[in-house]
Amino acid sequence: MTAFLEVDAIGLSFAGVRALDGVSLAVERGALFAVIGPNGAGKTSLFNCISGVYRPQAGRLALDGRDLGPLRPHEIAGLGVARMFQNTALFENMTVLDNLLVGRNHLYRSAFWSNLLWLPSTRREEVAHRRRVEEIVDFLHLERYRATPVQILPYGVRKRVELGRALCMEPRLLLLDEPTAGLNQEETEDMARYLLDIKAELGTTQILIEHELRFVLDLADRGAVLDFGRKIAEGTPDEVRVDPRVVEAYIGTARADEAAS
Amino acid sequence: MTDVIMLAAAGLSLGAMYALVALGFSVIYRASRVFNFAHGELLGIGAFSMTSLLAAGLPWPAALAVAMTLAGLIAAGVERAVVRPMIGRPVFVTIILTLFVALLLRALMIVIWGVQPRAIESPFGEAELAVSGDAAISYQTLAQIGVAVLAMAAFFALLKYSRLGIGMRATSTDQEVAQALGIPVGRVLGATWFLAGMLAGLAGVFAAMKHAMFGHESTLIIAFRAFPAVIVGGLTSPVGTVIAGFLLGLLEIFAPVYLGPHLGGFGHNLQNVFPYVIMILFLMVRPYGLLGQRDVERL
Amino acid sequence: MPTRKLVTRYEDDLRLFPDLWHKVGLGLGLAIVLLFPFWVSASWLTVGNHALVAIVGAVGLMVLTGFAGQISLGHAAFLAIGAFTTAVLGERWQVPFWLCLPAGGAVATAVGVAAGLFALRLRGLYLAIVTLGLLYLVAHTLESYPSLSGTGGAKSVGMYVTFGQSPAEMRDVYEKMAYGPVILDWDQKLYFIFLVVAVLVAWAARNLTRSNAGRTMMAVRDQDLAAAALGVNPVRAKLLAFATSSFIAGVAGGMFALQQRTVTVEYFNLQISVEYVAMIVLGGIGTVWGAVAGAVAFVILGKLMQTLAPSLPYIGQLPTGLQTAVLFSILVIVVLVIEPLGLFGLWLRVKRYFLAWPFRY
Repeated sequence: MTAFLEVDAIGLSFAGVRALDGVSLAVERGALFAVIGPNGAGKTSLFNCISGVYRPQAGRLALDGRDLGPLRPHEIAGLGVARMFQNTALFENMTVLDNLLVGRNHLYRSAFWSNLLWLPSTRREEVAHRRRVEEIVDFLHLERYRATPVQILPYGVRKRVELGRALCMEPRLLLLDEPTAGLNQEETEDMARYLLDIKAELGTTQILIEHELRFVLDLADRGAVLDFGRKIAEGTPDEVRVDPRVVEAYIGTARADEAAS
Repeated sequence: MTDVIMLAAAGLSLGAMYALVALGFSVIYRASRVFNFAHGELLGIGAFSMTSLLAAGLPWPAALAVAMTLAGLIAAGVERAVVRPMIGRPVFVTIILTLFVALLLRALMIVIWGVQPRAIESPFGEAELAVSGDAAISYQTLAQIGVAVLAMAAFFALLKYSRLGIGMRATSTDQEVAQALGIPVGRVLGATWFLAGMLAGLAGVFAAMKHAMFGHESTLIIAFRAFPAVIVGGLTSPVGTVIAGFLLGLLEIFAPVYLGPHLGGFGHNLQNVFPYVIMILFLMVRPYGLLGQRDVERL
Repeated sequence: MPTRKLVTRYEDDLRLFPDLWHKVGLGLGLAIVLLFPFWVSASWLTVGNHALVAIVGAVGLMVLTGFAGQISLGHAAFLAIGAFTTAVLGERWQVPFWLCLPAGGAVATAVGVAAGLFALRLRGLYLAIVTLGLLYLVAHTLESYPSLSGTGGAKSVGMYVTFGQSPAEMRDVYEKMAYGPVILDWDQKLYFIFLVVAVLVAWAARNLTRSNAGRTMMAVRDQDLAAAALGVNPVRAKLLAFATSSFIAGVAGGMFALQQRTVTVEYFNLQISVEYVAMIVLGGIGTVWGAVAGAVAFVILGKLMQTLAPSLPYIGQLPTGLQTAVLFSILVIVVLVIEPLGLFGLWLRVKRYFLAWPFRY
């Protein structure tokens, strides 16, 4: 039996810098998988490879048995790979609703000229998708921001909008790039709860990037640790926590006791 | 052979003008992230003030220096009054802004100098240097190429070795960091525009001397034909734009002679669009120009 | 009193004129627009026709630049293609005008899609310069073939109503005629035809903004890489924007040709492209209303300045063509420095003032 997402020995380098060096991962369906590593370890590059923004020079990627190699980013997204970005990449001049509706773009079927002429099919489709978007607005408590342009929203809300936009895609695989970076304690806890709810209610497979070890290991089922583009450990949170290579490479020897506690 | 030498000389002198204009464009773009569509008018200011200064009895080199300075001052003024408040605005805002500034400058020139065509006398007269056989190149053409190359060399030396040059390079890389390091970014921007304006003024004088009489269009045309050189060279690369300027100048002279007759009706007045054709073909191969940087996109 | 009707159905949220005030506004607007040609003098009626052409052209550019974020200085090229297609079709085969306009749009679309395919890899200023190149190329091509652009640089445009009309029958179009109880002269006829086209075009563009096609264009404008990672095909979105925009511009060019009755290649220069960019920036980028308001304001201000300019110091000395241009440049520069959102920003301020009334914030 093969895993839901298979990353097989991918390698990626930019002008001589090796961002990823033979990284392999296997993520099971429905899992909440953590990718951990210090800055510049290649975590975001890994996501960019999975979602097709970068093309790895070596190795193979497969989702549910389908090779992702030849696909372009929007085609991979069409397979149900959704993404939340590290520094939020929202559509700044659009409202929250419009941002969420863009997430449903690959589920739209009506033709361009039908949009142009506002034919009944387009009208019905807009209403149907709006209905589903409202469920997500409800789930993430975004009601009061519906018609607000996202550029004037506070950072914590923007993160939620971005999660909502990803959820609107009805994803099978959710890539979360540091969803709690820059959030305060309360917002971080909210975000953690949303992620656990997504896992419990929707059963979506999630891959979570974090550099804060404790937060992520409390949430995840399994995790892998990257350092300088290589995978140095993989396993359950308990295994990763005590792995000597992780302790040394990531936390530094001096503080190893603190991490283990 | 005779033809080739004479055409090459013409191409190089045209290319020198393009290079001067394109170099100014590119350094302004690097400094302010603005594509200065008012550059063509700076050429005009150089050329027209030259006529007035010569008429006032100034010797040729002094008049040229004053004309260049004047064009530089106008450029710096445009930067301070209009461009600087626009930092951080969307690209199309700066585009139409400089285009409208161009219109205003053109109107200003018409108010000052009127619409009558004028002439700049060459200090060398009609004298020519015989090369080989029938080929002869006028001293004026040679001097133009020489002065342009000298001006550009001086500019690059300034960019490389002087304190101001270091400030310019730092500012074009990252304004905020430059400011934090104590570089007077405002003054550096002003100086950048001033220098670019001087180069434009010089190019303007040359462009005016291409014709016995010149009007407001003659200088503008040169500037608009120099745009492609900027793009082909790579917006962010001063060296690239200079190379592209010379290349396009040469191509523009040679193409109508050797290519034009084969294109039928389209080949008539081919030089009007030729730089743009070259630019479009070139961008198909390298969308970021000859020496320009490919934007690294991050998520 | 609630300021807004409570929305209870998603359908209501998608309406163009959702509440009473919008409907009152619509009614008033319609009344003014329909009565306009009977009230005003001939010269202001011409201004009205200009405004309608400008509205169509500006909406076309708004789709490309405002929605999809592709900066174009080549808009005049598409206008020119539409204008000369209309002229040539009328001259050669006496094609009726209601076919000429979409045909002009179709030819412009073909060129626009070709340009779009090429522009896919370019951004921002590179695209601006390439579209400028497109403008020069189109102008040069037209000028190179007098069979297209007319001898001596000008081509006259005929307006045929049905196929195979003789020149004598065609002349009726330009005469004053009774249509049932209403008597319309040529300018008035043109006004109503243009009005229908402008309303259709604005409506279609507005439909884009409230449906998936327009949203994907705007997503590409704001964040193209993120849009791709969300399943938006950026190539498709950009090409659709180029196609729609150039089609509309082609129609606008055809309208312009019908109105002018003589077109020259010279007219379609960079200045025209810039004027259209100025219109959409003045009106406010990203909305159809911005394009409409910008176009109307531009044409009306232009007319006012034409009458004002000769009496002003310095500006009065300039050639007439330059006078209005100079006044307009000053206006645009001032607006851009003071109110970045253009007329739309001004409108937002007024709206906010009245929403908060009688308080002032």
